[in-house]
Amino acid sequence: MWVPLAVLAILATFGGFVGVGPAFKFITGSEHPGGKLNIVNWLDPLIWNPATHGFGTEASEEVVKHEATESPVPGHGAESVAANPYGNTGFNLAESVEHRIGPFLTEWLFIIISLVVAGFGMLMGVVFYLKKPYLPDIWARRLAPLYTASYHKYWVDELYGYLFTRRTMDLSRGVYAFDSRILDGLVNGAAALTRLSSQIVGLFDKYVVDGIVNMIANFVGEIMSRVFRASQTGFAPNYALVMVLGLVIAVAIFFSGDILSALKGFLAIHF
Amino acid sequence: MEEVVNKISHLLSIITWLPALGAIIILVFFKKDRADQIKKFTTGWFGLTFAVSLFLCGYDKSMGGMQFLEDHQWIPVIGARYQMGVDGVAVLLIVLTTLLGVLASLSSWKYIQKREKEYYVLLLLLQAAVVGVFSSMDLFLFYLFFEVSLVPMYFLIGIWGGERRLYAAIKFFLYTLVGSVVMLLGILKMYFLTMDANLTSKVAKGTIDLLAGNSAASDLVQRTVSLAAGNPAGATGTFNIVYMQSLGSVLPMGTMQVLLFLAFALGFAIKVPMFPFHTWLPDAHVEAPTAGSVILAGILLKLGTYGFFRFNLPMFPKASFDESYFGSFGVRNVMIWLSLIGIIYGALAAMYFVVKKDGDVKKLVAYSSVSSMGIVMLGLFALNPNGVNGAVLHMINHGIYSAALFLLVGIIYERRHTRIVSEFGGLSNVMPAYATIFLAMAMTAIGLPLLCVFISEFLSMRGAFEASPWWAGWAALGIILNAGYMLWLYQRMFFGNIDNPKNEGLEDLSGREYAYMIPLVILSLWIGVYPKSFMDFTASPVNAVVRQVRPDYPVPGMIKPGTEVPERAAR
Repeated sequence: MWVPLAVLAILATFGGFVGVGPAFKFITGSEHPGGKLNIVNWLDPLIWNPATHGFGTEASEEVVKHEATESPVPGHGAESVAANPYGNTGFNLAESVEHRIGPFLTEWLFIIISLVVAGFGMLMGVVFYLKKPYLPDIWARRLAPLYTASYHKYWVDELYGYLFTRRTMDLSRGVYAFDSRILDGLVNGAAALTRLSSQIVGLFDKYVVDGIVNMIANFVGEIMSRVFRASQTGFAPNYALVMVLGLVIAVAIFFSGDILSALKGFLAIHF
Repeated sequence: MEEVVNKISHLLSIITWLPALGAIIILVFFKKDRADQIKKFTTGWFGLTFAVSLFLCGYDKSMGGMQFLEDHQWIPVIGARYQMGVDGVAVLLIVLTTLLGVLASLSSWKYIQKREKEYYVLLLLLQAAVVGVFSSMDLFLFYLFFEVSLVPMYFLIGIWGGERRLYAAIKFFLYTLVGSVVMLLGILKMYFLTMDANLTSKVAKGTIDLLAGNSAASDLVQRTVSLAAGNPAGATGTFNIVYMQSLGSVLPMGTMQVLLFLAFALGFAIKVPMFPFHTWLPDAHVEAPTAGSVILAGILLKLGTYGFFRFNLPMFPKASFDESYFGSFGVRNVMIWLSLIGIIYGALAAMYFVVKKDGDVKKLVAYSSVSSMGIVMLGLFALNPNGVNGAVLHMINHGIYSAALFLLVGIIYERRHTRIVSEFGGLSNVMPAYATIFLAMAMTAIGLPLLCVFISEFLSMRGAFEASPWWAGWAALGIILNAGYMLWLYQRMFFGNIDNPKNEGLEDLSGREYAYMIPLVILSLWIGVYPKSFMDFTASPVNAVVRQVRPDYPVPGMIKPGTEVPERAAR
């Protein structure tokens, strides 16, 4: 189990060098944070800054030229490009210290403070758990309420679990219910509606449209055929009669216009 | 290198039709019962296509624009031509497609146990259709490939899918078809607009140059237009995509442009899928075979986002950037808010499958895709270089990690024939290599720095932040939720002791499984550490699109010296 821990310890020790300040210029060979080991500006070549017309923190030649001539480029504040890329963030301890003692000492000062704090913690660990292992119990009894609170991490996890984790889970259930019932219900509903209307159309087609077709067929087949069958008597005079009737009808249709106008004239004279 | 590559004639046609040729070879020369030969041949053929498609990396990045041009007469009566050409975005998507083709076919060797011949034929045909979509420079040709790509997928889900495969297949097909039919109306209207002399006379040559990106492509566009106008059988319109995009710059803002935007947007939004048009996706993913899910998530969803990038933004620039058409809000706001809802909603819905006892991992990954595609749409409609670059890169990254997650779920499904989260636990004890790769991919999905998704999510959100900090804020919430359920899923499946005796004898990854997982892990790291080698491809097309939508925005490499930059542009 100690192997992964050792790997992490080594990484933690040397990982800090990525992005070290100018105090370690002899390693990084640069005034900029990290120098050759720099990952601070790792994504700079990708991020377009419309205010400076350049990628990342660089400014385009055009903006640089404008700054050199002291005339700010219209539309993008040249001052924001200059000294402090993070803007004026109010009181800043490191910055005010830097004003007094200069950047080099400031950096070492903070490095030393961090090392002292870390060293103190290590020392306490050695005293409490290696040299005098009975001490933790005594102090835990003496500061019982504080000990319990810190043992339970001030109940932050419980509070967080109740306030956020549980509520997010509820929300997640709600969202899925909405998705599967309402949204997918709408989709399936649209499908069902289409199927229903297709059924209605199908029934209409079968019984109404096709019904009319069949009705005509039946009419022809059932009724008209009887009429025609009955008319086929085999007697020559009957056929002659039909022929004469046909002739009369044909003449009537052919001269229908004349007949109608004659009729109109007759009616106009006599009534 | 670039000089040589651009001289290979018909490279795009070769890449498009090579898989179809492979399908024909299988149909003609292979017997149905020689499944072993068929799968080896198919995988090899996909490998060959991938190798050929790598020639596209010779795309001249400094020149930009549409390259590898092809132009042949096709249907002169309506002015549709067989025109192919790709920009850097399409190059990346095509190479991703051909790569995923190899991986998908390799992953099917054991999974598919029936009708192998038909299966591999359909897989090849699907790739032909998808590559065709990305390489078309003619809208008619595009639409043809776009529709044809549905058919193989329909059969892949419908024949080799799970229990409810028919329901899922029909839902997938019909839902997508509804959208694309509406889009067809929009395409027809655009076609008739290319014949409208009032508009066409206003199109500036500079716009065509900007969108075509280089002089060869620009010449092709102008030649196409004059050919269409001088057609001996009567003047026709043209379906040339670049010309339609140029037309967008003079299309007046109004109801017609908004309607056209919505017609195209519906077709693509269903494909993406955006909230609330996403419900076909979980069903299709759950029922599809592993390779089907891989292609569906990795490639087919990108047809939608690619459509927004290629058509909606440049063709309807005023509608895309509109913030006032519906009174207090505009088309852009609608798209942004649907994306934001999609991001959070997709993440919450995905979380449900870890919250509930018998959640399906595949459904979880499907909903996480909804969330992820929301980020792509957010980046696109941020409408600045960072956002659009991030969105385009996120298309590729989502193709990598969602494909990988589906492949991983497929691996465990082959061993256990279940995908229920609660069936697993402590898998890292028996399958350490599988657990490692799963972790790498889960971390990619979360957006861990030095892995690919970090870059694209960061850029998308950076772009969204430039437009409005609120948008980026809501998107960040969704990303946190994504991390939440992914870590939780990983904990429940891999950590702790094995409490289900069925998991005790599980075998770790085989050589074949390593072979199709490792490339994706490498890609994820590569893009995560040095994204520039990919972003160089997308820079010039992305800048052209942003410039087309926002002519006054200071775009990289396109700032005219001495021009005043308006206040609004710098926000």
